[in-house]
Amino acid sequence: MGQVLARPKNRQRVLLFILMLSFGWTVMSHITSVGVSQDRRDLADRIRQRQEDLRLYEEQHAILLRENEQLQQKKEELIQELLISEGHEELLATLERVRVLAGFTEVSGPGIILTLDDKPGFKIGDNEDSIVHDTDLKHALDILLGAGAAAFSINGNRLVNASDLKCIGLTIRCNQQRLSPPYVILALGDPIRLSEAIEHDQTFNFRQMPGIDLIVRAQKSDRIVIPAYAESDNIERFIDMLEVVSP
Amino acid sequence: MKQNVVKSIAFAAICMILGILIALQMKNVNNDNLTENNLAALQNRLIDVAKKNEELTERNNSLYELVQLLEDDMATGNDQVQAIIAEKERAAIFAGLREVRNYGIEIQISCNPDMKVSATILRSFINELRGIGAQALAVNDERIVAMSEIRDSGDNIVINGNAMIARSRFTIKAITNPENERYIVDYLMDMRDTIANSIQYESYQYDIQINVMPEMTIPALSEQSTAFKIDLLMQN
Repeated sequence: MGQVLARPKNRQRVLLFILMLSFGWTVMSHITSVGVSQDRRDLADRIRQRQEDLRLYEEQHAILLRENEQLQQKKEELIQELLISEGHEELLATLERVRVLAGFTEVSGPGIILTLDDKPGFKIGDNEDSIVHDTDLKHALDILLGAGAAAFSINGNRLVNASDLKCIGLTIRCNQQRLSPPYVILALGDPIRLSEAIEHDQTFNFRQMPGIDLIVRAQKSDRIVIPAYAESDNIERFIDMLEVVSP
Repeated sequence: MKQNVVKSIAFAAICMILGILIALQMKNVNNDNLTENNLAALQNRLIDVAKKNEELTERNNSLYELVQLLEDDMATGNDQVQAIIAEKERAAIFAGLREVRNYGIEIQISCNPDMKVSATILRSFINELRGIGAQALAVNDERIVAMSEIRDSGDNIVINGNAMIARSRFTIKAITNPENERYIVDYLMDMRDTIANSIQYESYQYDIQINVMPEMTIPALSEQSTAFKIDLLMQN
């Protein structure tokens, strides 16, 4: 056999045989799959089309958001200009205060950055306590409120009267946005009181124990910036059933 | 010699065709990973973004109209100031600074006289009511806003800094959409049953009553309330 293969002509034939065999096999396999995968190719084309549509819609969304921010800013500047020029400084001050209390303005000052995250490498079948649930976020907010927090945001979403936290699959919905871990809560207030309240909480201490390994990290900061509620120009649906008794 | 050249060309051509076929095959294999679920998820996302874009376009149009009114030299100062006052009022209603009334749901909660009502129960109802679209909320006529604190403190429950005896009956009021009455009442009844059947709360013997109110009034929250830490909010 060794002698046979050693001959160049025979070696060529064997190689050609193998090549032709794999060629034949590939052609057959391709012909078979062309028939079977016609539907799959249609599906793939439809998915590609939808991906392209989604990309365009998301681009449009980003443009609209920028436009919204600019219009909001312009509106505020014009209101300020007008009220000052017309001598309505008191109305301007009231408006500003009301907007601050409603959560419609960015606020900043000392506070903490609290990060809640799933156990690293969490997989289905692991302890459910190892992942962050909506109840954990609510629990954290309750603790921070008790420690004197004045304002919150979660992953950049300002918490206001219309905010609600709800688990949807592996994500948590807040202000119509789906948030995924890590959840970063910014809390405005005394950094020492706020971080101590988290560090001394029994529930979070239990959830950080080996085996559960939930991540709970409170970081003190001299200055945090909590964004304004992004939909302050779209609150009608949250107040349309409220008849004012006394202004 | 000529025969060798022909052989080499044939060999190269076969290799090339083989390569192309393998590549096509790989593409098919990749397509096999795509499912109708991928398409459905994409379509849902697409509908979601399209809806948001439509809503944002409407919001921008309204803002543009307001900006135009504010810029309009021809408009009387009064029109412009009225528009600003209306804007301020909307923000005040949203913030909970106005007393409001309408149809709503009232929940009365009490427990075994030897036990104290737990702040956790009140918070759970408040959270769920928020989730099902309540536009204004109060506990024992204390307006609840985003930064309201409801906590146990000895024999009391402290709400917005005001102590209330934990052994008393607590009344939660919520202005909700009457169109969703059936859903909301069923939801709250389920919640009540869950609490009643919970081993954790067995000894409390909670008595929870849910009533539909054709009209209710929910008081405003004062700007001086501890829920509004205005000094911290306006420090910068």
